[in-house]
Amino acid sequence: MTDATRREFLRRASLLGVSGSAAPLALQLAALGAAAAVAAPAQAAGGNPAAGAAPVNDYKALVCVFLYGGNDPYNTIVPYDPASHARYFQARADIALARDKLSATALKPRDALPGDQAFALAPGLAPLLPWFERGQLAVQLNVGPLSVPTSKRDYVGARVPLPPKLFSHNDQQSYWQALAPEGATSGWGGRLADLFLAANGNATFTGVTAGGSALLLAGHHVNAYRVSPAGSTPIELLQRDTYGSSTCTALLRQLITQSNEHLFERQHAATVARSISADARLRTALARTTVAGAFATPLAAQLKIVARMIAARDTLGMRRQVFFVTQNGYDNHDGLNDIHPGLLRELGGAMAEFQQALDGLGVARQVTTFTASEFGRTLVSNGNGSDHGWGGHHLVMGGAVRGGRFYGKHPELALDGPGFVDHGRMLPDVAVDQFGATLASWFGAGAASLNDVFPNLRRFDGHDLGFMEDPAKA
Amino acid sequence: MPVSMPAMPTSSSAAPSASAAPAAADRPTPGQASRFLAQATFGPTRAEIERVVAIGYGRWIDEQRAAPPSQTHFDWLVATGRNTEAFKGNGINAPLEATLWRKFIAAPDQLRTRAAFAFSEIFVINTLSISASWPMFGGAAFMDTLAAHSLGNFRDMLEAVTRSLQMGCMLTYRGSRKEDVKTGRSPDENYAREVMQLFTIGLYELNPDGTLKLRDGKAVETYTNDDVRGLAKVFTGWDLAGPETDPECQRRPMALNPANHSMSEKRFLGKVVAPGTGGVESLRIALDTLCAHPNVGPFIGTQLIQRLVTSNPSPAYVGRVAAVFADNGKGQRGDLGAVLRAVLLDRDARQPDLESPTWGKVREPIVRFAAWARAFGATSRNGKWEMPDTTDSTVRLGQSPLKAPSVFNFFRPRFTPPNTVIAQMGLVAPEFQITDETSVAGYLNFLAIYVDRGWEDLQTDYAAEVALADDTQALLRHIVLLLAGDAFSTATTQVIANAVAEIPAQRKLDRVRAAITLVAATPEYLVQK
Repeated sequence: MTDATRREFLRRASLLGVSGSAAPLALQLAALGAAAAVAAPAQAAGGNPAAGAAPVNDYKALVCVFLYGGNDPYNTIVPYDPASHARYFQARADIALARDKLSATALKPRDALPGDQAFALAPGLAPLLPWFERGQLAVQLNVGPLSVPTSKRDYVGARVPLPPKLFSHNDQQSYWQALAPEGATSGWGGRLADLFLAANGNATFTGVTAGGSALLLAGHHVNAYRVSPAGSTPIELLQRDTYGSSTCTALLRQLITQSNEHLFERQHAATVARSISADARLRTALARTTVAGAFATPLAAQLKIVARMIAARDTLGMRRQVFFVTQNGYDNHDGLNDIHPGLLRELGGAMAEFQQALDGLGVARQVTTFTASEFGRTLVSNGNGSDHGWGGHHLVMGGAVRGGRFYGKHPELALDGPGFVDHGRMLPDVAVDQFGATLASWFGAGAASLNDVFPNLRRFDGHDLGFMEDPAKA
Repeated sequence: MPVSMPAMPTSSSAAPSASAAPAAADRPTPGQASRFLAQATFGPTRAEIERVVAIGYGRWIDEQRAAPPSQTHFDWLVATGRNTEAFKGNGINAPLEATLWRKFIAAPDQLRTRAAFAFSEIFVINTLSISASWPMFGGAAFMDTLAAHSLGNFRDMLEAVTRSLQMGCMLTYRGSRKEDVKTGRSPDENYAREVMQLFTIGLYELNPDGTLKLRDGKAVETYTNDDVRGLAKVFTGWDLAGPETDPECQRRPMALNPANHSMSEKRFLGKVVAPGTGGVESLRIALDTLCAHPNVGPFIGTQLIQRLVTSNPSPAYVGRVAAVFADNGKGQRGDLGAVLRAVLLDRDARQPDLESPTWGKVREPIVRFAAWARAFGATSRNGKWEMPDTTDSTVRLGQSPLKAPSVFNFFRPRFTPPNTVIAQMGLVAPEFQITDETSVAGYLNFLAIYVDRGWEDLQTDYAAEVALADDTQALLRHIVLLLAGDAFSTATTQVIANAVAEIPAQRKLDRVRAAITLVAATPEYLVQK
């Protein structure tokens, strides 16, 4: 066998997956994850990605703020009515927030909650209070990964399939973003954006992350594009002749972007090529934008570049975008009340400033921002922190949000009650699929497409939780 | 197709004779030696290439295992006067970064140093999480701990990591207290979960070759949340040993405070620790139980192969390495020196198909920078190694040692870039988790800086390269040998040599810089093979 034919043989063998005696671990795990979900109808090869979407002649964006580490829901949306607060305090005295510190951020919802139930925003989220009062901030209670609706009896009796690897950071981050455990190859934000790719003048900027790696944004066609807070990053070596040699500069560009046979080399080169072409386009577009505000914190800086890209949407020819920003540090097993308040101050300040900027750009109704986190935390304390939980509360912000309201139910704060499992973990009664589908419906996905984007959605009653305005009115 | 060479010896039982020439099968070419050193060290140097060629792979490894440990980070910090009140607070890390780069680039015991770095991406801490005084010394002490055990025994390493103040802070079990029925307080579960998931057994039961063990076609989970809760009790009562009067507090293992240790029954992984068992004994039982789990060999073995050699090892390769973990040939389990030897001498590592489109791994940015320095003799001109944080992803590496964002490292061992052929084939490519449209530009921007003028006090004059600059073919062969060994195509070498030849001959240094830049920028180099 000559070298050339051997290379071809090996290339085909690798592509066919016959190079090993067993499938690689990642494939086994990803397949198991896929098996756990209802098999969705495969999108027809070469099919029109826009199929199933309404005609697109407007602009809409989703902005995901991912709180890495697992945000503590009880110290974020804090029980405030006297009876609930007393139970909250009793359950986690070491780490509870005193009621008298919450009066300034007590929430007065437009639709009354059952009984005398009341909640307050954590003090750090005070900048968001005006948005709640103005009806542009909603709270979704107790949402988390679920494969099927699950009661405590179902959980304890192992009667229904559970999401894989509950309480594991990396798998639940993957599950929140992709509805499959680590090893998933597409996220729901990317699958959603795939539906609208044809509407965008520049596919590269359909899914944009100002944080790190963003599985949420990977579709079957859409890839996440990474910006820094300053925008795109030029390769300086290509801006001038390398050591005075135009030949070397041209060769450099060729070498770093050429498509080699090696899969990793090819992937790296594709990333570089995308980086170069995106920089040329984005730098020009951003130069014409102005966004008001200081945006001083790291999270705010990420949201600022998102706002600038939204401001450049027409120049870039964008109609639908999904953005991803991140904040680290929520895994507060230790020092919850030393660390968490600062995180929430950063979160509240950044989100409020972002919404203010969108108002200034005249796109408040066209952008919806939401929080996500791999899990909630235990109701009980471990001394000065809380451990990995399950359900959590999340915020949805924007001009198209039916805000000033709570959605979903908060379980009674009783460890032995039906709302908690495994010594203090809140059992979700709303699935990530439903939360995402509500956002996706507003974004423009048709009912049929929702089941492709959210594989387990059909197992749940209601794909619309109600927190978004009817998209027809947007 | 050439007949495969016989597998290199994987047992350490046969002591090599100091006077014997290496067997023909163990006498590598310079290109092969360079590729080996890229796996075993932070990067080849001319001297080490010559050494490996002279004595062979196996004896080189034996030499490295026997090499005396070089000066610890902790001792270097003391020797350079950092053990003062000025460095007591958090947030002052520059001297730690200095000593980390110092050893990555210049430590003579390179195998130990490289292995310690690999383990720092399994047992992950971030210096910012260290809450006791002199946290910079904590980072140093932790890396020293890994180095002390990286060629030793896994059980000893796990215990040292578990007792380290730095891991106690990172995973928050420092000061964890026993359960309190009255208030509902539970022991901190953080370390209990991650010591299983990340440090020893992973999430699913594995066959010895690292493939998933299946029961009724389904993966079998290694532990449940009850195991986490039971194990969490073991890690109660541990805290800082003694007063924080000097940086030694960061080097002392945590001490047990019996009053805070849970004395109730502890159940985990099928083991029952009887009520009334104290903390020290409980810890011994827990670590023994974890280390005895059959998953550890394939789980840790796979990650060592991934960090040093290739992202997607064959099950057979994993199986051979795991077998050495289980028994080093002398009935000892967990001999890391023997395991690393097995990783590096395996026929898959020594005789790979360099044309395979899936062999190899992306060189992570920290290693690329250190490899440049080693290849071209860059060293600190003033002995201070004052190289600051390289975390910025627009003009630096996007990565800085001991600065991973969480215990999940800079990248996951099972990361696969979504929506790619790599993912469709079920392959993993961990380092692609920190490879994006910003970081690829940032690396090239930083490369342009350090190739041109070094970085801070890290400098080189490229004397050996300048001497070759009249002949760009020879220059390129030299640079390619140092950076990529025999795993770089002659076609690419040729086109670079031709392009560099267009730079006027009198500008020798520019020819050298251009040549290094072009090689270090190309994907053929970025993917180690």
